[in-house]
Formats: sequence, C-alpha cells, structure tokens
Amino acid sequence: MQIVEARTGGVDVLAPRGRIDSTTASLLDERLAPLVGAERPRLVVDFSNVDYISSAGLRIMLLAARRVQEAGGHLALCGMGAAVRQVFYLAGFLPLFFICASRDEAVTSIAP
Amino acid sequence: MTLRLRVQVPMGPPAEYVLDGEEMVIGRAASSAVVIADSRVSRQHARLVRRDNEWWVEDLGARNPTLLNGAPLRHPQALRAGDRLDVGDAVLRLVDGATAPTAAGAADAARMWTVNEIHRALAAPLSLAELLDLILARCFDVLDPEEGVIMLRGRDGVLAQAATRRRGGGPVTVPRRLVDEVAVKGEPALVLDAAGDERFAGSASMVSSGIRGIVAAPIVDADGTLGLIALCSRVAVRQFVQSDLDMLMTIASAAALRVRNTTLAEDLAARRIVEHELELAHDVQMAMLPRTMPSRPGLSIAAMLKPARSVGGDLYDVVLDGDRLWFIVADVAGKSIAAALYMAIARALFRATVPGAGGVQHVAARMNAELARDNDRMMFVTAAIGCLDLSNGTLWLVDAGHLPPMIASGGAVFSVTSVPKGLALGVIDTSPYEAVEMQLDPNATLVLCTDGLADARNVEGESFGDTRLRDAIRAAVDQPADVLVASVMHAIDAFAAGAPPEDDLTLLALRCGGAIR
Repeated sequence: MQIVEARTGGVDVLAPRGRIDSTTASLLDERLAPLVGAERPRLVVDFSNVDYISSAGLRIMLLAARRVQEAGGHLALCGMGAAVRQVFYLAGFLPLFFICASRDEAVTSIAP
Repeated sequence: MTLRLRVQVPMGPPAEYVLDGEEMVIGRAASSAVVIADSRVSRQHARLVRRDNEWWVEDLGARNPTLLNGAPLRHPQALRAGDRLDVGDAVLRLVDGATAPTAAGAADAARMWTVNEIHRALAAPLSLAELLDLILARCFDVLDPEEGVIMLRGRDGVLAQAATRRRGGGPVTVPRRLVDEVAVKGEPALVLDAAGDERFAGSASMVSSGIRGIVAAPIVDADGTLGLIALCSRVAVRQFVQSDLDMLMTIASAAALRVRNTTLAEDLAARRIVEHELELAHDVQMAMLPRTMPSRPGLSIAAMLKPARSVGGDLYDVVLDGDRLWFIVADVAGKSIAAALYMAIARALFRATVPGAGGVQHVAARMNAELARDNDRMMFVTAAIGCLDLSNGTLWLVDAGHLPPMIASGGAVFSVTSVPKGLALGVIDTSPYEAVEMQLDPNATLVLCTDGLADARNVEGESFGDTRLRDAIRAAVDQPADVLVASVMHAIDAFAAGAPPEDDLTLLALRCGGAIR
C-alpha cells in the first residue's frame, strides 16, 4: 500500500492506494497520527485508489475520527468505491463518518 | 649492514631515518641530514660516516658532547643495532632494517594491527555489545576522532545506536544525512570538510551537528545493510584519509558476519518463545469454543473456526437455555493477541448475558455497553447474534455490524436483508440494536459466517467471493450441518490452493428439522 499526502486549501489530504488490511493498516495509522495530532486538524482521506479495506483498517479510521473529534477538528472521507463502501456499511460505520463523493467536495466542505 | 636511526625528541613526534650515502650530519642546522631543533644541540653536532660498509659516529666538537650508550664520545666509534646516542635532549636509537616506515607507514602498521586485533576479538567469547565497544575503542586509538558510533538495524528495521564513544564522554548525535547516506544507501563516506562536500553540504542535520570530518562505512552482508560505523571530527584539522576508510571498511565487513550471526541466533530464540506463546494462546482460544454442540432431536448444528494466524479475532459460541438456542458468530477487528483477548471478553459477555435475556437485541446492547467501556484502542467486534426457539422454530436475529445471515433452502441461498443494520459492538456505548423475528422453515439451513470466507484469496490474488460461497453452500444444502460446514471450508481450501489465509474463517450452520415441531 502506498499513501500519497497533499495539502490543499488548509486541508490535509491522505490518499492510500491498494489494500488496507491487517498488515498495511499500521502504515495508514502511522501516516494519520501526525495529521490527526495537529491542532484543530482538517483532514480528508481519499479512498479513490483503495481496492479493499479490512476491519483492521476500519479500526484505524475509527481511531482517527475519535482523535479529530477530540481535537475539535474535521474529518471527511471521499472517493469510496462500492467494495470499500460495502465494508463501511456492513460494520454499521457509514453514519459515523462525514462522507463525500469527490475530493473537491470533501475539501471544500471542511476547509477553514 | 643496514641501520635505521630512530629519533625521539622531548615533546615531539618520533622520526626515523635510513642511514644512507657516505655521510650524515646530525645538528641544529637546517642543512643537516638529521635536523634536531633543540638549543642544546650544536649546528653541526655529530656525524655518521660509512667506512668499509660499517657506520661510525664522530662528535664534531659539540658544546654538549654526544653520548654513545651513556658515555661521552671521545673518538669515532662503530655503530650497531641497539646502540643509543644522546644528542642534546634527543635520544637516537639505532635499529636494524632497511625499510624505514615513513609517518604514513607507521600509521598503516597501526591500522593493520588494529584490524588484526579486531579479527581476534571476533573469535573471542565477547558479547556483541562488548565487541562493538572494543571496535570503537581500537578505532579511537588509531584514528583519534572526537566521536564514534556503531548503528545497527533493530528487529523492527529501525537503525539505532548500538555503541558510542566520545572524547570526554557524553552522548553522540548522528546527523540524519549521515545515516541516510551510509546505512540506508550503503555508501561509505570519507569527508574532509562536510561544509564543502556535495553529499553533506546543505544538510541541516549536518550543519547543526558541527561535524566537519567523517569517515564512515556501511556494515553490509549479502542480505543487505545492517548498519554503519562512523567516526567524526568537529575540528577541520583532523582529516581522515583513504586508508582510514579502508581500515573501517575491513572492520565493518568483519563485524557484519558477527552481527548477522548474533541477530539470527537472537531472532531464533525470540521466535521460539513467541511461537510457543502463540501456540499456548491458540490452545486457550480453541478451548473457549464449544467442544460439543447442543443435541436435540431434529437439530443439526455445526461450526468451524480456522484461524489465519495462531491466534485470531473470530469467535462463535452456542448456548442452549431451555428451548432457546442462542448463537453468535463474531469477528474482532485485526488479528493479534489483543484481538484474541478482546474476543475472549466478547465471548465471556455473551455467556453472561444470554441466560434469561429478553431477546437478542438486549444481548447485543449489553455486550456493546461493556465492550465500549474504556475502549481507548477502538477495538470493535462485528457480530451476528441469533436465537432459535426449538419448540416452534421462531428465529430472532440481530446484526451488530456483521455480514447478513444467509438462509439456504432447496436450490436457493439468500441473505436475510430484513435484519436492521446495527453498529459493530464496542464503538458507541449507547448504540441501539433492533432484532428481526421470523420463522425458520424446517427444510431451511441458517448459515452465519465471517468475511474471511468470501475474502479468501488464491495465489493470483483473486477472492473466493459471494457467488462461489453461495454455490458451495448450495452444493451441500441437503447434508447434515457438519458436512455442509466441512464441505464449504474444503471448497475454500481448494480455491486458495495453498495461498496462506489472511483472515480467520468462521462458519456456523444450523437446521431444525420438523421432528420436534
């Protein structure tokens, strides 16, 4: 799994690529940690290039959401394909996240 | 006979001369063959002369007479190896041999000696830490750096300081750029002045360290870079030379073998301990699964859990309480000891909650409230929880973030989509759960599983998928539950064709024939 990081309009965007499973989830966690640890983080995670996410990956997203919330920041997810969306749906996680269709929409929604 | 003259002046470096030509003058004058800059030495103090292939010494009337072996030199005398001359405060010794090592030659000898000593130490019964300390100490003796460090890659792959040495003591900071260049790229470094070096100038870590001179070698073996050994100087005066680097490279390659062997031995020992503990944990976890299934006329129930690693995050359990058969199939996020522990808690909660529970939604709600308490690590469990009243075939199902249950009946296998979607257990303590009630047809089989089944992949990376899963269930739908479970698991094994399982596989099948109705 590769992770591309960008910053646009005061929002950090993290775009993982490939599979987020129990092996690679820790990589995502490592990259998320400094971003969600910022003061009032504004973060978008773009799933456009993610083929698969396991429950271990969901846990990392849950941890990130909680940290962002505690820091009074904003987290938006975008670009979910059918397979990724189905995993979020099955776990009952869709209502827990702010989910946008496109990266532009996600960035605009949470930009300062 | 060939002789060398070894000159030692007080407070000065030693020097050596080969006795050459017909005559060599010793004196304070710069024109002397052997110059001794000492006020007690006359401009032309003494003379060495070759006669009949022997060297003689003659005092040239010096104010402070030349001494030969402690006695004033009154007339010319022949010299032999071992003789001592005192010229002013300088001591001159005659030694055998034609090849006078230059200053560089003497340093080379010291380097060879150091390499030899380190080679001997490699065979000695020293711990790796002791060996690394010794290597640095010897390098300090020869190369006189201000600080030295040996870094090795730890089990986690991160480079860490394994031995350090600093003149005057104290911690050693290694600039990130140096680590990247030498240990990561595997390139040795010989830097006279870091400020003017293309690899290191412009590195903030280098500038802030104040390091000027560097000699550094990667510790490499056939499998890759294990670390680095670096000696640094902050004064531009101490400049390292190519032969310093050559020596360090020799030492580094000798040390690499020992480092690799030590790491392998430690890895093996550590892995044996971990494997043993995982085996124990696996046994403990498997012991928690029901060994026998409840038995009732007409009831056919079976389950199987195949952990992907030694311990996993899947769980199933079955409890018969009166006529009510309670069951759960669950999946803890992640696969680790932590997941297995969380699974053990979930299972204990299920067992504690079920007896006398008003309904599956209450079981889910109570398990959730407990699992969500102090859940800082955000572990969670997805679970399908059900209850079948064996007296009348009434079935209640609740979905806590899990795959929908499937019902196989005749030629059809379908998901029970009428179960309201609830959140996985452990996320939000007040999350509501809603059950669905239905009748389980006597000819129908209820199938619960974890996502490991459809997600199982073969070596090509292709997933088993929902369609193959349903086909496998349909193919065994007329069989008793245990045969159905075994044949579906077998179909997945056959599909994976040896690809190692990435996730736990759990499957529970349940049928309640008409006999007891």
